[in-house]
Amino acid sequence: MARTDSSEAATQLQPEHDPAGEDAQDAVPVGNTRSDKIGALSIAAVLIIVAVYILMETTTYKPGAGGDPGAAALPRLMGIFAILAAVVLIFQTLRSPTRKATSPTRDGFRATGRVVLMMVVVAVGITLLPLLGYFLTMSALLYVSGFMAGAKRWWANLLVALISSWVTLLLFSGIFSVPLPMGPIDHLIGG
Amino acid sequence: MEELLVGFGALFSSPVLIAAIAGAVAAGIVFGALPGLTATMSMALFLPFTFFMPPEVGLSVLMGLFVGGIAGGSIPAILLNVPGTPASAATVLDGYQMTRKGRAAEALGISFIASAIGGLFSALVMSAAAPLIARAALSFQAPEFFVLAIYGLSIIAAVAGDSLVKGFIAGLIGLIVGLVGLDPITAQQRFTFGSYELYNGLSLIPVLIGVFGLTQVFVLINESFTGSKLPTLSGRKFPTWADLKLSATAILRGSLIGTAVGIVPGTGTDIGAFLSYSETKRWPKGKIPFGQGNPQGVAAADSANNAVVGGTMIPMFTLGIPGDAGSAVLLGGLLVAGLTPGPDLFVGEQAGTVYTLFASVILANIFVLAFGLLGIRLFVKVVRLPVAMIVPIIILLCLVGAYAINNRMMDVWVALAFGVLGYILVKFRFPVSPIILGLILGTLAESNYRRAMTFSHGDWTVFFTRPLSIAFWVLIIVSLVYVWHLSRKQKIAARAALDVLSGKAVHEAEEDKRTDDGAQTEGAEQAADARADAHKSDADERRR
Repeated sequence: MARTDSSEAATQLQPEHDPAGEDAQDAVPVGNTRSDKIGALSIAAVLIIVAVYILMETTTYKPGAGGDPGAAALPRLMGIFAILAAVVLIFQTLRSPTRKATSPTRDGFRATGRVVLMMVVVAVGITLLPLLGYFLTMSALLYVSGFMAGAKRWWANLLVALISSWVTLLLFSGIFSVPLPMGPIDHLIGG
Repeated sequence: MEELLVGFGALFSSPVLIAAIAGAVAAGIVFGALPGLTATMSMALFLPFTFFMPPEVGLSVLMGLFVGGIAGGSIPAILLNVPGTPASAATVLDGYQMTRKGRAAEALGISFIASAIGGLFSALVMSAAAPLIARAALSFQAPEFFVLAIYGLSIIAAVAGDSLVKGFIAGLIGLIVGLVGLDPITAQQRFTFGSYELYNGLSLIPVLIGVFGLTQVFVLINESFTGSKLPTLSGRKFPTWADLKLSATAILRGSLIGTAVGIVPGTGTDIGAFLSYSETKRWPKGKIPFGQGNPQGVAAADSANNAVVGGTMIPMFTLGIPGDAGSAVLLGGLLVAGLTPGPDLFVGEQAGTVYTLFASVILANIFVLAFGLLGIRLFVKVVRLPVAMIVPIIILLCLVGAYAINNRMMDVWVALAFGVLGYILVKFRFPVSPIILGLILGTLAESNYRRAMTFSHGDWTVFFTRPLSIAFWVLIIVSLVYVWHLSRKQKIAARAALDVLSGKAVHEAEEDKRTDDGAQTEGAEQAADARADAHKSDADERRR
């Protein structure tokens, strides 16, 4: 796979190995893919909306006194900077050449779908944590996440989920005195 | 120095004290390695136990925890891209990339060596010149703090990657997130949406865990689906001599910067590490670019964050001003032990205890090196784990870590929100480190800007008329000019390379024509021309 750029973002998504790192500056494809462009433009749009909201919200703040520029000064500055940065990003994105994506679009969509599903699973886990207690929720969450990350043996995955949940329960609740959300089972197993 | 030798004498005549320091360093490394459990938290947890120990032992235990905790935070930062403590946020930039390139053991080795040297350096400075330096640090007031924060924000340019605008936007996101809560001067509610849980703003650690830890989970899920390979191990157990030689200057620079940052109260290990990383990036050595697994990046960040620990002790011991949360806990321990900070601490009976403590910090750093290097074989086993096992472990550490910092579910949601945001940014090639920089430095900048404006009655020239402020402005200008110069140099180099490429393409086309020795067909000529055209247009596109 070709290296896309030197940014932290791209390198996080680049799995290839380069033990000596000598080829780090090799072939740098120029431009953004269509999806990169859509993403950058969407982020710019969201940034403008947030900036406008900040500027509107700060009109209600009390003005500063005795030399103090007031609570609205920095948010307003941030709002203006955000709009400027978003506009520059839009121009840069539209002007940059479009290059072809390295992976087939369908695979990309499916991988993104899997990531979104993972996000939903984590959100459901966090919702259930105070309701069902730490051990039960965390074991289920870890089992599902292991499965989604490609676990092949269900029993090994289950074992990892149960043991790691139990060990952390004992460690955090028992030794570090962190009051983790407790359910009936947690009390039975030493939480 | 004579007093320090006496301190060592007292230390080595007490096996209990040595064992206590060793145990504290080991416990500190474990605490630091668990995201959400910070060095400060470990010290706070152990503080009540130290009440029942002799002052030297109790305070040495706290110091061992502090030193071990900061060093331990780099272990998950390097292996999993999850900083164990905020101090290791800068370590992930190159540390995790080294792991991805099969160099986890080398990265850990450099990290522990840099941590130990940084810690030793600052401990020696502390022992030799504490009272003298503390007086100079007092001249740091609101205008200087503001300019220091601006200088810190200029680091965004150094960690922004290939797009300065994207880095700047990520930094703005951090600054905007830092606005949430009551404002630091008038307690005006800002963006709290009526939720009292947001009154104190968003805690740094859940944001950090989300941006690095949960983002990493989503990246791994994405990669596991697309069939990407896992990092391998080079087989080495220690850094190479070449790596150490390359990193020596970065370690020295990091030690100096970390100590200096630590001396200034109100800064911290995270700021020290980022400043050192940024400065080291200005003086690159070797072929590996920063952000792609350069050992100098790890060395710079880790030498500085551990050097900050010694630096923070200087105003704490001499003036009673804790430089950060960790030294505040230590100050509590000091007061409980009946030691009142100030110049009197260094004379009379108390001097013996203080210099024994200084000797303990030096020994604690030696233990960090020993435990770290011995433990590398064990730590790197994490890299060999399959993604299906790493993903649940990271999720577990992230969720528990985010919860443990304030014992509230709200922080877990914050971590998830920033995990999602981080993934979106990474997906669209935005750097995420500037978010953390913005969040750390935004509050520092705002509160000191407003304080300075208040005491100068709205006169903004206060930021340009004080000697230390002027020095920082000069540094800011030098940094920005350097970044501009570097990017210009890179563009010129890229253009030259592309010109060579396009020239080579034309030459190849001409060669093709010649070898056909006149008998070339129209089709072959067209093919050669087409190849040249393709190379040329490719080169033109790159140049654009």
